Amino acid sequence: MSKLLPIIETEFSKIYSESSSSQDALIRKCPLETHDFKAQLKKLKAHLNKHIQESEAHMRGEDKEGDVKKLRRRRELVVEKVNKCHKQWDLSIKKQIKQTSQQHARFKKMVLNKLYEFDLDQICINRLPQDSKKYVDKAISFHISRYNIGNLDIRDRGSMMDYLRNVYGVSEDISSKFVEMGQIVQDMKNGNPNTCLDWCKQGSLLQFELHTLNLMQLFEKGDTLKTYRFLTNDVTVNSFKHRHKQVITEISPILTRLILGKPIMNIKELTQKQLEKCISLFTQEYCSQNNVSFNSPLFLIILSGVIAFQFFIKYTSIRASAHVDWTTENELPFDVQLPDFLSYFNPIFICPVLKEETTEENPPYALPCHHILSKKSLDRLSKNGTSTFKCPYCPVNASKSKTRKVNFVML
Amino acid sequence: MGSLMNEPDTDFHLKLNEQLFHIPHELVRKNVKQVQKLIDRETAVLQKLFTEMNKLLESNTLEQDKLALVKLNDIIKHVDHIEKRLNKRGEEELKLLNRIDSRIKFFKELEESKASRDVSRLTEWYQKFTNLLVGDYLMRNSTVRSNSSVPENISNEDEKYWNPGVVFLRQQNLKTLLDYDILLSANRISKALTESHDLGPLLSWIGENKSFLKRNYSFLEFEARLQEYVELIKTANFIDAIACFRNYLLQFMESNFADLKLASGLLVFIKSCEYNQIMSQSKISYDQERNNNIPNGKSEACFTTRDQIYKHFFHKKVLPKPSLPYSSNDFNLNYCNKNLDFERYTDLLDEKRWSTLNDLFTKEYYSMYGISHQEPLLMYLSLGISALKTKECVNHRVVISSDNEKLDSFIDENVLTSNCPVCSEEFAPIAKNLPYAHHTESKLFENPVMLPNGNIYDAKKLKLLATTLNRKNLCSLDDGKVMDPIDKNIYSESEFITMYPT
Ligand SMILES: [Zn+2]
Ligand SMILES: [Zn+2]
Repeated sequence: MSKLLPIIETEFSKIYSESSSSQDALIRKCPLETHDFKAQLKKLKAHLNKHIQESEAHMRGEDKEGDVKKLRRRRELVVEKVNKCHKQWDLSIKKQIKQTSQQHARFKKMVLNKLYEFDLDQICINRLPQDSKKYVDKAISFHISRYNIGNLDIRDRGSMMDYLRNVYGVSEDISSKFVEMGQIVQDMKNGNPNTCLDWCKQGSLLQFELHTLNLMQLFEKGDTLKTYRFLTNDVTVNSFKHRHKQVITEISPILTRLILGKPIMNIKELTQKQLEKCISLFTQEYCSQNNVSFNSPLFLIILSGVIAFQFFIKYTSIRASAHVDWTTENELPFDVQLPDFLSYFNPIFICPVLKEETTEENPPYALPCHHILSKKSLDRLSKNGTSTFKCPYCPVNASKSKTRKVNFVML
Repeated sequence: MGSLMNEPDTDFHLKLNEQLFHIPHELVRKNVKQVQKLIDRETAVLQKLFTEMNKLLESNTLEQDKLALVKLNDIIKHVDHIEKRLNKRGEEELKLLNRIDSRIKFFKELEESKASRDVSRLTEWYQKFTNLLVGDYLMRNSTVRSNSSVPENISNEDEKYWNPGVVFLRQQNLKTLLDYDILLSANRISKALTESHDLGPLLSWIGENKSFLKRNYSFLEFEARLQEYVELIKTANFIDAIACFRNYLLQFMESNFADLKLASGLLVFIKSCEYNQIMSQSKISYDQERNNNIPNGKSEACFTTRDQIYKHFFHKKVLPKPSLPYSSNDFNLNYCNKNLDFERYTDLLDEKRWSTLNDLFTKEYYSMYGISHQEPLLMYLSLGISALKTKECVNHRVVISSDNEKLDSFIDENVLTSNCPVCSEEFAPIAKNLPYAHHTESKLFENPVMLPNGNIYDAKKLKLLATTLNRKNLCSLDDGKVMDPIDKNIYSESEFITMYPT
């Protein structure tokens, strides 16, 4: 559980005023009080003005009732009030700004100082080679095409590619791979799943989910008759045929509600979820059909980098006193435990004797007992092929001549 | 709460992204300081106005009261003006607080995704995070364009400048998560220095942040003004150069005496060159024939390399002694080094000073907001590549082709292509010189079987491949036969040897 988040939230809320019903930043009290001050002054100005007019009338003798004493007292009152409200405003606004600054200083002390632990510039990471920029830009081009093309509001093929080139510098050979995907995603977002239905395979899960989406969208609009007709006529029987389980969990509840004439309270949210599900299913199928990776390489590397960072920082702080510079080494000095979906791109074989990963220079060899060792440890055990040796894992004896070089291939 | 994919906890993320809170807070603090100043100044003004009004009221005559009324009206106008300015500052602060708020929400989302134990939800969060880094990278590196050149669908409310980073974050709905204004203005000032050799944006930034620079004992202003002076000299604008020296450089006499001595020397030096140039027009044309590299005629404006300037000065300095042998470069080099601080002048005139100035600027700018100089995207990429890079990534596999082109291309594109991001065409060249991951355990596949050729495969996948190849009519394999995709030979399942890799 995060310890810092609750602290940040509490301290952040203190930058807002607590009392008032509508939450507002502390600093906003300054203009608000000034506004009140202005209103008061305006009122008092009107009083003073009235006083002057009445005094003039009195002097001209027009106003018989006018009482000099009364006029004088009112004048005193106005003068007194003007000064009083000025003093009040002056004091209050100064207090207000002081309080606000104090609260900000507190935020710095309570939050920012606690967040500050790593100075990224002091963290010594292997810099990418000098000429990396063009490759990074290309990776970004791919990433943007993959994830952002469905967010554009242009649909025409040529315009989409022009846009990506002009704004992001994406070359046509990258953007062209994603145009159709972008168009279909845009259509789905705009409530038109038909282009996707045309694209997908008959009887596929995607087709089923799209029909479900369509159904939910009709239901959301509240058009019972249309929904009914859609269910009975339009939906090809095919797409529901082999999906008994999904029909029961997804379609039946809607159908029941439809028959009962009852609304589904969170239909909007559900439809949105269904839309996202369809988009994700579709992009997955689209990418695999077109031989492009579903997750951009950039994303997978960044994710691995985030995961590696904690191991890296732990290692750096341990080694800080030892002054060991690992960046010049050929291999990271620590083991980054990546999740499975980031671990099985290539076969990794660690020689059980040497505890080293096999390489082209030190390839794996199979013993007659079907255990596998690296060439180096084989040479060592067989004294460079001059003697037989016992397999380190079973009682079988082996000679170097009876081993063979092997090659792991991931399919 | 454990992690779902070995990812760090939320607090670690918060610490890594401290700048996301630091920057808006710094901006808020600046804004509050402005309000403080505004209030200090304006309450004093009002105090004075009130005193004047009270003085008028003291005499208690109708005439004076009328004047006091006018005064009160002035006061109201002034209060109105204060209110408007406070309102503007208040709204500014609300916008900045909104940034902090959206960042708190962003990390709460992370915390909630972790709590939900839903990997796809967590993956989505990391996708957003990656997009944020991409936005940051684009913001820092892509050319900033002014709003007059906005293409359709991008134009936006009140912002003067934009670049692809801004557009990307807007399209991803992540705009409040990054301090685009801060990054953009750094980028704009930098690019002006390094690309158009324009000091204007830097000088106005210096003007706005004088007290910060002073507090940090920064030489930025001095270096910028020195550059301004040098540029004026390069274009032979001596009058403005002298004015610049007087107005801006003299104040650094104590702290930068040696530099200033050199700077004033440069003026004398170049002027004397000018003088000599006029004195010996005919000689110059002769020299130009001798050496095509000599910049012609009005010269000073186009020194770009040390060589050029060297040639330029050398042939002129020796003019008064026409008997000297021109061909002897060694002699002239010595001559110049002895008599003039030649190296140091050329350093001063060197184009490299622009990038040095830019480095100095970014250092100050980023430290002011606590922004890292290193780009986060590149840091994560460097570590991520190393965490993923296996020895296999750089191995070049020899694949034997068959006489069936269709089969070969299918296998090449669909079977043997690795999904490894480090092996992708974008990252393979970058990864070449970065360290490998460190592994202590093998990571292989299930049911490893060896074919007679020594290749070890996942038995199930090999059989599945056979079915696929048959279905696609790429070859016809009998029951119990498989094809090795690398040497394209056909083997029988009975030849499979179960392996026991540890
Ligand atoms: Zn064995
Ligand atoms: Zn790889």
